[in-house]
Amino acid sequence: MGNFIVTILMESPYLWACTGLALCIGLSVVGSSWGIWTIGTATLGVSIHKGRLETRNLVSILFCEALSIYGIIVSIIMTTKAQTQACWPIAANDYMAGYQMFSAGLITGFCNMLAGFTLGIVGKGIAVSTAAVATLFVKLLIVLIFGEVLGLYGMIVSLIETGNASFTSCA
Amino acid sequence: MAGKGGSSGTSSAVSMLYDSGEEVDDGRSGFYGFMYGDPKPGNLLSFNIEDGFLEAFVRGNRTKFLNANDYTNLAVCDSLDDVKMHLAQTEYGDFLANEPSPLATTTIKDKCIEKFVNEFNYIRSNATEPLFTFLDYIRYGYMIDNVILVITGALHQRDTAELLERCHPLGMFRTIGSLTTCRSISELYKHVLVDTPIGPYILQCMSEQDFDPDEQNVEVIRNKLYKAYLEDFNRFCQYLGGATAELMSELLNFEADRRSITITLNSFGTELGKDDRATMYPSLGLLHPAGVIKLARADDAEQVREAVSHILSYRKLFLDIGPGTEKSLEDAFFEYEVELNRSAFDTQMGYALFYAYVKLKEQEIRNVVWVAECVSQGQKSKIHDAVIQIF
Repeated sequence: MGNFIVTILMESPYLWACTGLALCIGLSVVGSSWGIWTIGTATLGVSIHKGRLETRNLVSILFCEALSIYGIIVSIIMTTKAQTQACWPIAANDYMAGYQMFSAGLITGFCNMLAGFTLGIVGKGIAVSTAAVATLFVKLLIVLIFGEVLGLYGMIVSLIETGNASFTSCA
Repeated sequence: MAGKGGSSGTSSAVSMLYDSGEEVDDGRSGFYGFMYGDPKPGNLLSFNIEDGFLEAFVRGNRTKFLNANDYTNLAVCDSLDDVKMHLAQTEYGDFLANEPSPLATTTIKDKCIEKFVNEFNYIRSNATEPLFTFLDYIRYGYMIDNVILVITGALHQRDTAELLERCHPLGMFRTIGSLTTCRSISELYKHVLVDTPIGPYILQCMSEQDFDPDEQNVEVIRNKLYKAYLEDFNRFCQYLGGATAELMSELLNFEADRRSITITLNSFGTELGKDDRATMYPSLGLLHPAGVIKLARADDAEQVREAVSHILSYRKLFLDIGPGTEKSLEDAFFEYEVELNRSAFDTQMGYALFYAYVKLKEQEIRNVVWVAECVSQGQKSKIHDAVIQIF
């Protein structure tokens, strides 16, 4: 079994690269959607009472949306890199490029996913508490900004890393 | 038996079969909880999937409670028409608009209850499992009161329509009409057992021979039914687990203790024996089991006070109602209840919020009715004695 896994994993850096690409956009969207449904249901609930005032909570949903935009930026850059021709034998540099792409995707994916969970729970609390005390809204948005920045950190690191990654073209 | 979702374990009062043991993570509370027949409420991350909308809806109601300003305005009213006018400017709006001019306090009370029940039904109609079962549990308390009302009325051959009008709308169920047609005690027992959602409670507490709803015993029956109901509710909340179990156990413990103390105090001077009294104490609460044993042996108010004095919060309550003040124990209990429910109202990701909302609304209706009574009797100075500020 161990032999099997090692064989599969050592087989090709392209597998690593494409898995990273999938995780990048996939996990970013998981986080973003988790945040949106948590905030969205709460916004609907409080909007029944004060309609136009409470729809300012859509700003929280905007923050969640930005996380998936980070994910797609990194993914698109990674797809341009992954347009390489596969060659045999695989050049040594390609192994490193594969690992770099995987790690970049994982970084962005997890950072955005967990930032999405955070924004969801906090945004829901904001929606409900500002329905009771209206002056809290602008101050509590700062918490959302800090949550947003967590996803941004992931994107920055991934961009630098994919900048370094390059598959050598076939001879 | 009148219940719903029969195949799974959450149907109505049949939940006596739950074992209230350790919290097991069987996946019923998470993302895929809906795949089980009887899911649990979600935790911090997944609560909003099912119940987020209703929780936000109820918590958005916070500003709709009457605040200190409103009560001050109401306190300077001269007549019930003034009260109506002031209430129209709050969130109550035009709820009294269609009533003929000489208003009675019973009209105000009925209309307040109607408004509250409409909100509750809105919540109930949007609820999914297990919140729906939880809301039904809240209603069983009112159902017990209604059933007792109908039973005593039926035995005294009262008019059916009049009886049903006096029932609390939150505790109405489809088969209550059949209770009014019974004429003998054993028929009543069978009908309550089979036709009402609280059948399992009466099965648990008394057999057909003990069921004797005449003047003295009807209160005993009511207390026993309520005891079975509280214990069942507690078991259900422990099954739900998480934040719900934690907070609801606090609220239900207070309810049980309050009933134990009130039963004891009300039984002094009646023919109720100590053993009979001991069977009516619910087996939950901070006073159970040590304080309850002392309560069962108590002979007067002083011994009752001693029996509960090992719990700090109850000792404080009894201190507050010393001989100097005009406050009664009931008022002190109401105040403490509002305090507990107010803190439960601010919690997230749990169902205790809905229970607290119902209790706080009840208190607000009591407040409004008290104000209306004082105004109509011209005793406006007494208003602030019994009005408890909610938020």
